[in-house]
Amino acid sequence: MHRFESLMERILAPAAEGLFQGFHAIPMSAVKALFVVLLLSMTLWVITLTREATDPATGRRYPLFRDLRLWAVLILLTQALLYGLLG
Amino acid sequence: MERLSTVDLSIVVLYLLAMMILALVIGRGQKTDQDYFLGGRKLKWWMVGMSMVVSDIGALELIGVAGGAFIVGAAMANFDWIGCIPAMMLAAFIFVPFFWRAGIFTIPEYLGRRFNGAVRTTLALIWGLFMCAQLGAFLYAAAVAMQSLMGIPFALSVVITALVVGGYTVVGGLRAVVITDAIQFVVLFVGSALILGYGLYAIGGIDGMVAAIDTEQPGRESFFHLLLPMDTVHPFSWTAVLFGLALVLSPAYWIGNQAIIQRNLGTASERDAKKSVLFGAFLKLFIPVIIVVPGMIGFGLYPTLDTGDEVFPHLLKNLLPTGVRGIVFAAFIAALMSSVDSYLNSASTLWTIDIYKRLIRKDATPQRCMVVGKTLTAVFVLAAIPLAWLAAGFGNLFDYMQTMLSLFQGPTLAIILLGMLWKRATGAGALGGLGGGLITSGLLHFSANRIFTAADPYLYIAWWSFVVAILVTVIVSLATPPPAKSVTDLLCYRRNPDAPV
Repeated sequence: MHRFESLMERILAPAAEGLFQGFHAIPMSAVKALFVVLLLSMTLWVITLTREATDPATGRRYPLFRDLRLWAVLILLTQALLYGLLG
Repeated sequence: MERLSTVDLSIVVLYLLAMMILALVIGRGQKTDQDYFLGGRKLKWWMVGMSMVVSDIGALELIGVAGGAFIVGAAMANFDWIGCIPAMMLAAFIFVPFFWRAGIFTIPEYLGRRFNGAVRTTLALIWGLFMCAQLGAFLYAAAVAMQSLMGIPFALSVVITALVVGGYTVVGGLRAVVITDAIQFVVLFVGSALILGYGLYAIGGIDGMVAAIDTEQPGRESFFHLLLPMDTVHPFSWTAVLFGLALVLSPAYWIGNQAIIQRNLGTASERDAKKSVLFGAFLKLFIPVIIVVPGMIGFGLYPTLDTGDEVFPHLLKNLLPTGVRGIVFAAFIAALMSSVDSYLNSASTLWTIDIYKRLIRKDATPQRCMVVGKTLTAVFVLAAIPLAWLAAGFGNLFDYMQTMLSLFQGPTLAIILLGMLWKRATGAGALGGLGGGLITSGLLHFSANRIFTAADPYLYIAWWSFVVAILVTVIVSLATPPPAKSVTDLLCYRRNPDAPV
């Protein structure tokens, strides 16, 4: 087992160290922005789900408060705000 | 430190009795496997949403996340926010409606239809074994608290919990699980909010908490931040949170965990299935406030505790007055019960639908399957009792659970994603990807201390096993004949499922 661990260390440790140094160089403000942008991107994706706006049984558009996308967007925006403030 | 008073004990005993009686009433009249495993597909979406969240929280999260917050601070909120909500959105709008329309009981069942029987059996065995092992950890968590607060010996605590929860899950099936979970969510929420309120009062509000923590560890700003830098010694650096948690473990959990998805499949309509997940995501917004913040308060009040896992029982014992303590302890029991009943029900579903009905008795009637499911539930809860002692060997229970999950969640997610979103993925590719991912996670786990700088690097292990599983699945799929069009037309995601194939 010890020999196996040494082998794994020789192969993977340099790659792990390179990745570590690369990510470590990114400033935390940019990391925070990345998380917020990811959440906002998901919000935009939810908005584009136009099929969700229509009741498949009647073919009519849901009233705004019954449109599930509205609630999803509110939840995601709250998340983006939290990561913007506390990230 | 004092134990629960007679009043507190009475509240706890009454609560347990009420849950058992309710479950027994709910369980009457169930005749088929669909009644038992999917609640007859009549479950209310808001109950399912509450049930998903309370089962996810469980006793492990109450103790483990509060314990983690005691050590690393606000970063533990990632497990409920970025580590849940984006994945729940994907589940709500893509995966859960798809599974619901397919009319399946289990995730391996879907993968069996999409790929082949070997993939289905392999995953059913992995999940079935994991869930049984997990039951031991849940029982251990309960026994530790019962021993310290009620004075009941550890062994007896394990047995009592197993018999109470096992009893009502055997009789009531998924419907009983979901309805009792909805009640347990309310009790848990109120109980945790009480700890938060009393804790904030004791420490002098938010300002008092900040001051107390600053006194203990001056200048430690990261305690109040969600995102930690790469060089943190804890396994929660931002890269681990993003790649391991948000991109792998969380989607694998909310999309591929049988114990979570099963109750969505029991809702009355596809729209209800979506609503249940979105409601769960809404509730998730509040969970860190009532669980993570008390852990941080605990650090300010009791910085000398030996381990983080002690903080929740410590807050409960030392902060709360008689009566209130009984309610909060009932909340803890509620969290525990919701985890155990969900895992029990799902484990028996997997073994009945994917193993028994497929490999042992293919002509089993729905009635026969229900009887087998009930029997297996009883067997699993009894088998979990000795496993509680195994779980005792892990320092932090939450880490124990995440470590177990990280070993196979990445490969599982990889084949679910490719199976649903890539028509070219083949059965041989999925089997190869699953095997490659599992081997990767095993190798990384055994040599983790030589490769990773973080302690308990399960989030990284999940990420790399996911990457390897994706690569192997793609390579093997391209090297093997494509699946039949009739299969992929029906079992791969389409943006407009109402359009003709």
